[in-house]
Amino acid sequence: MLYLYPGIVIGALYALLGGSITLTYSLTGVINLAVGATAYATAYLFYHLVTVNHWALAPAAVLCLLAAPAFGLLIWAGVFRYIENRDLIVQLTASIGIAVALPSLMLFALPTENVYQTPGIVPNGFAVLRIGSFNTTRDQLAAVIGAVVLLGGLILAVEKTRLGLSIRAVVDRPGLAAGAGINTVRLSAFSWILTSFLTGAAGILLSPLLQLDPGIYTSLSVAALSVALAGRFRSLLVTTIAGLALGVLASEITGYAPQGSVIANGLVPALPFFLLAGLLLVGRSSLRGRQDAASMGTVRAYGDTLGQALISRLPALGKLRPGRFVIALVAGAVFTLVAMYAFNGYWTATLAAGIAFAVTFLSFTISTGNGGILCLGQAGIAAMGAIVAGRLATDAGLGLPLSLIIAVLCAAVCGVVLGAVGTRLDQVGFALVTLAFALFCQTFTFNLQALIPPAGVNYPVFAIGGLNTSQSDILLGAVLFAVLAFLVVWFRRSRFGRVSTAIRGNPIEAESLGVNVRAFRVGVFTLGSAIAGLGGGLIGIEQGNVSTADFALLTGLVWLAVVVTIGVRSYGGALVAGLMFAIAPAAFELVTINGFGNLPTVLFGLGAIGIARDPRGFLAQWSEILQKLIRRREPAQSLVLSSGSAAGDPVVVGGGSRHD
Amino acid sequence: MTSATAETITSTEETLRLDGITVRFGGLTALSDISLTTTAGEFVGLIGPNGSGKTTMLNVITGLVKASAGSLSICSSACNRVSVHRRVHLGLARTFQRAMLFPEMTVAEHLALARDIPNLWGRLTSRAGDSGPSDSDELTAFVAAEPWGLRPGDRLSGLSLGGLRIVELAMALASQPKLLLLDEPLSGLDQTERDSFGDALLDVQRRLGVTVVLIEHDVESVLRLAQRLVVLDFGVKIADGPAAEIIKDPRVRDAYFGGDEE
Repeated sequence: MLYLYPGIVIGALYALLGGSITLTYSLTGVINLAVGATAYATAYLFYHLVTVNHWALAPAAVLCLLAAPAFGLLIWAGVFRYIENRDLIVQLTASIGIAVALPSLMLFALPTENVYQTPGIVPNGFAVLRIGSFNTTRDQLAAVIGAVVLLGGLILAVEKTRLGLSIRAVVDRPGLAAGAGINTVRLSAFSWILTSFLTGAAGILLSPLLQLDPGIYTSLSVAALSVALAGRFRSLLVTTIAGLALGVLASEITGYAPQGSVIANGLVPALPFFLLAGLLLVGRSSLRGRQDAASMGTVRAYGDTLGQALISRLPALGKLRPGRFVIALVAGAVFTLVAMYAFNGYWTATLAAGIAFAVTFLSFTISTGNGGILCLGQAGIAAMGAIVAGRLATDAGLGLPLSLIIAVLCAAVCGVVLGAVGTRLDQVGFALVTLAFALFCQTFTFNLQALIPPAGVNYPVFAIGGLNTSQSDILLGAVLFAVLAFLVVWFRRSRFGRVSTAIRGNPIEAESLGVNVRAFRVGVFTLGSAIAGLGGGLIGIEQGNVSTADFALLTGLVWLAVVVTIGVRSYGGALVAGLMFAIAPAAFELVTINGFGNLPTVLFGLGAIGIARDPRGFLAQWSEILQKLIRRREPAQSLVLSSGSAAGDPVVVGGGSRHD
Repeated sequence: MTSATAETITSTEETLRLDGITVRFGGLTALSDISLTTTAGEFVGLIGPNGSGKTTMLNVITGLVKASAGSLSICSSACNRVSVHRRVHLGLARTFQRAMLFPEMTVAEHLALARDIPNLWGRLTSRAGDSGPSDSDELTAFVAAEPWGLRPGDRLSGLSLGGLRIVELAMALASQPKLLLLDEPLSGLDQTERDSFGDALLDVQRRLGVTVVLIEHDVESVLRLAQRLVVLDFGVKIADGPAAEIIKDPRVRDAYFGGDEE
C-alpha cells in the first residue's frame, strides 16, 4: 500500500494521455503518436514562462492551456484534416513528424540552459501534506485531482451530453453519423482541440514529477498508446483503469525491488512494452475496429495503402541498365575520393558519419520503401548490431570483419522474430510492434550493464593502409553502400521486386495469386534488419564508441523522419538522408546562437509531416520538377514522343496509375 | 451475339466440397450450414439477392474469411486451416468483385507476375523482363482477342473495365487452376463485352476442364453460362440443381425476384 499512491498519480496521467489517443482515434481515425511531444511542449512552455520569464503560476498555466488547444487546431487544419481518410501508416508518419519536430522547435524558439527543476501548477509543490494515513506532495495531489477532474469530465461529457451522443455515433458508424447530419469535420477539429488541451494539461501536471526531457516524454507516448490499446481505442473507462493499473504496477515493483537492480531500472520502464506487445498479440483486431466497421463480412479494398502512396512513382521493371550502372559507379567513386581528400578533419569525419548513417538508412529503403513496412524501431536493431560488433571486436578480440558478420546475423535473427510477430498483425500493428521493441531496447536491454558498460561500447581503431581513420571509414562505408545499393536496385527490378510491388499495391490479390505474403514480408523485414545491424556496426566504427543515447527511441524516429523527408524509395534517398543527418547538425554546431542546434531536427520533423501532402519525398519531387523544366525546353514533338513512350517513364507511370 | 451455350462437360473428380459451412460476424449469421460439392468441368452459377452471402462464401473458399463451423476441401484436400496462398497451389484461383489489379504495371507484367509466383525462387537469378513459360503466348493471345485487343505494353490506367476484367481472368488462369471462382465479372460491362467475356469463359471451361463458380446478378447471363445453379438467401442455401429447373423454383423466384417476375 505504501507505493500505491505514487502509482495512482502517474497512472492517472497515463490514463489522461491514453484518453487523448482514444478520443482522437475514435473521432478521426488517427493514432496520435505526438501526445508525448505535445505534453512536453506545453510543459516546456510553462517552465519557460515561470522560470525564465518569471510569470506567476496562474497566468502561465492559463496561457499554456490556451496554447495547447490552439496548437491542436493548427495541426488539424494544417495536416490531419487532409489525411483523415488516408492510409493509417501515412497518418502515423505525419504524427511522428510532429513528435520529432515539436520538442526541438520549442528548444529552438525558447532556448534555455539545462533544466534542473521544473515547477508544478501549484505553489510550493514539493511541500508534503498528510491526508489520513498517507503523505503526498502538493504537486502529486494536484496531478491526481487534475486528472480525475479532466477524465471524469470527459467521460461524463461523452456519456451524458448531446455532443457526447454525436461523438459516440461517429465512433460507432462514421459514415452513418455523417449521413444523419452530424458535422464530422467540425467534430474532428473539436477532437484535436480537446485532446490537445487534455494532453497539454497532462504535460503541465507531469512536469514536476518527471524530468523535462523530450526522450522521456516520447516514451510516455508508448505508455499512453498501450493503455489506449487496452481500451481498444474506444472505451475511456477501460483506458482509465488500464492507465491506473500500469502506474500502480510500476510503482509497486519499483518500491519493492532492490534499488538499482535490473528489475527496478529495466523491467519497470519496459512495462508499457509488455502491455503493448501482449495486447497487440492477444487482441489482433483492435486496430481494425474502426476501419472495418462499415465493411463487415467483405474483403477490405486496399485502394489507398502506404504501398500505393509510396509507389506512385516507380521506375519501369526490367533489365538493369549497364550505362546507368557505370555512371553511378563512377559518380560514387568520385564522391568517395572527394569526401576522403577534399576536406579538413572535421568535415571528413562528418562525411564518414554520414555514409555510415546512409548504410543504416538503406534498411528503411528495403523495409519501408520496398516492403511497405513502417519500422519505428530501426534504432533498436541498429543498436544490436553496434553493440554486438563492438563487444566482439574489442572484448572478444574476434576482429572487425567477423564481428560485423556476427552482428549482422544477430540483427537478422532479431528481424525474423519481429517480422514473424509483426506480420500476424495489420500494417499499423506491425509498426507498433517495432515501436514497442525500440522502447524495450531503450528501457530494458540498454540498461543491462553486462551488455553495455556505463562508458559505452568501444571499438578498435580502424584504418586501411596509409589512410587515416576517417578516410578508412569513408572507404569502407562507400564500398558497402555501393554493394547494398546495387542489391536494392537488383531487388526492385527482379521478379522479387515485382512481387514486392504487387504485395504493397494489393496484398489480397497477391495472396490470391499464390504469394505467401507473410513469408515474403518477414523476408524483406529480415533483410532490412540485417542492413540496420550492419549500419549500427559502421556507426560504431566511425564513432569509436557507442552508447545508449546514440540509439534512443526518439533517435530512431528522427531517422525515419529524415529518410521519409528525402525519399524512402531509392538508395539515393538513403544516401542524401544519411549525409544530411550528419552534415546538418555539424553545420549548425558551428553557429554559436543558442538553440540553433535543434533546427535540423525541426526541419526533419517538418519534412515527415510533409508526407501528408506528398509521400514521395523531396528527392522525387525535385526530380519531377527538373523533368518538367527539361520538357518545357524541348520542342513540342519531343514532348509527344515522351508521353507516348510511357513504358519506361516514371513520371507517366504515376500520372494516371490509379483505377477504380 | 454468340452462339455458344452451356453444355454439360463434367467428370467425377471432386474439385470443391463444403460441409456445413457457417460464418458468423458477431451476432450476424452470414452463412448458415452450407453444403456443396462440385466436380471437374462444372459451371456453377451462384445467385441470390444482395447480402445473401455469395461473396462471403467465395471468401471462405479462398481463405479470406474463416468459417465459424463446418469443413472445406479443395481438390480433395482439407483446407480449413490452409492459408490463402496454399489453396492457390492446390488449384484454386479467383477474381474479385472490384478488379483489384496493380495499377503501375503493364498487361505483360501482370501476366508475368502471375506466371512467376508458382516458381518464384526457381527464377531468382532470371531477370524480370525475360519471357515466361510456354503458355505466355497463349495468355497474351487470350487478352489480345477482340473486343479487348490488349497489347503487352498497355498500362492498366488506360484500360476499360472489360480490359481489366480480362487481365484479371488471364492472371487467374496462369496458374492453370482446377477451381475458378469469379465474383461478378460481368458487372459494369456492356452487352457486347458480356457476350465476349462469357464466350471466353465457356471456352476456358471446355478446354481446361476447370470448375467455374460464378457469382452474377444478370440472370440471363448466368442461364447462358451455367449448367447448375446454387441459390442463397439470407445465408441459407435454398436451391441447388440444374439451372433450367432451379430458375423455375417458386422459392427462388420469390427470394430473387420478389415473386413478380415471369
